[in-house]
Amino acid sequence: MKQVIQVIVSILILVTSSAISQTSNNISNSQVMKIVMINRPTNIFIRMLVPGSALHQSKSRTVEIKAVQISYRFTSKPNSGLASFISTPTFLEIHDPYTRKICFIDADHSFYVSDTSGMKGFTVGPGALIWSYSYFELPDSVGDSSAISQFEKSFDDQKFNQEWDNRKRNRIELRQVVPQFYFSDGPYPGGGTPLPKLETIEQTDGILRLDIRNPVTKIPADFWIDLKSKKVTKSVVDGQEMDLNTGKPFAVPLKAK
Amino acid sequence: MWAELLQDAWAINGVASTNIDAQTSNGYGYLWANKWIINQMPGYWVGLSTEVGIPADLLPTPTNGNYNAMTNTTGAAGQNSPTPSQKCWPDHAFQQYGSLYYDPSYGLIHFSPTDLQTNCMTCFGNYMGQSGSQQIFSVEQPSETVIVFVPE
Repeated sequence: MKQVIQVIVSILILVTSSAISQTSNNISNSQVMKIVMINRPTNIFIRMLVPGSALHQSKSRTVEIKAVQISYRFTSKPNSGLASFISTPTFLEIHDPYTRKICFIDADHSFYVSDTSGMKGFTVGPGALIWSYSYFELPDSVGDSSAISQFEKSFDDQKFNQEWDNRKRNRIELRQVVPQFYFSDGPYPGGGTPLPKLETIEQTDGILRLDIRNPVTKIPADFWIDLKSKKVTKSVVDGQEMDLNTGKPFAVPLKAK
Repeated sequence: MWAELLQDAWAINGVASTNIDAQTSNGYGYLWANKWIINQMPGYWVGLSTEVGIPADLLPTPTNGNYNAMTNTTGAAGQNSPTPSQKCWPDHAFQQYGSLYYDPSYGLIHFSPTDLQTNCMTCFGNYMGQSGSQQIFSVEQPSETVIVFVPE
């Protein structure tokens, strides 16, 4: 009888410990990963665009402002998404002098835009304009260390994954509004595609004007972009206006039509 | 470059061919040539950044050739190399003669855009930006043919 009870107790212990282990795994799989700062924040200067408005007779302005760049690592390797492969997610803490807010946003953008909808970072990539929104905003009255601490508490790998997934939709293709090979390092197939050099940015009443230059071929291109409809309404490359309706993956000069 | 060399070699022998640039359409900016081991699709191709270009010849190579969504593996020989180090391109060039497309980079013959996409490409994608020292591209395998042949 004693032996039978011992066997039953052993089975119960096994079943219970297995269930606990399973529950523990489930918790581990769904756990969010926080971030830890890996070096001291550094001051950098960023280019910020303040949009203009015809109605309010305000002109678009571009200003250089100071921002704080902070590099992190995740506390443990995230289970899924882009975060699982990013070694040092890096963010900017920006004191927006116009909205009087502190914003935390991805670093590495070409320029930043401050308007009533919040802070956005824009990247002029080879063939596309891509943007992302700030992760976290709070009043400017909060001190730097408190702001960083609150950002870290609010942030996790899932927020990071979500914002990067959004970049698949937060983009406007520019390759289709320039001649073939414009974004390449030469007028031939298979070339490298360097990051375009940003020359001038302006935004008035939702129309972003972007002047860029290919850093290798030195050819300039100017775009007028309706941010609401996500469409390029006009493109001028090397002084020639482009036909934007060729039905091809690239544009040709209007005169050559 | 290789396509033009083939065109010139044929021209010396009195054979006229058409230079073809295989481009991506439907909003895709880049193509990834064979072969890759797929880890996750759709996903993100993450390379280490350099100042040279985007993407920069797949170099420097990440640990075990793992670019997140895909892991690099031996592909088609070409360009005097068992596996050319660059396997991601904005486009690809070769020669058309008659109804066939002669690809001097890899010593292959293609029959159509669908044939090229099905047999020689792993996936298509777009530049998404940079995080720290890493370049990020979204990648996927579209069900439709997204390669178009553009005669030059």
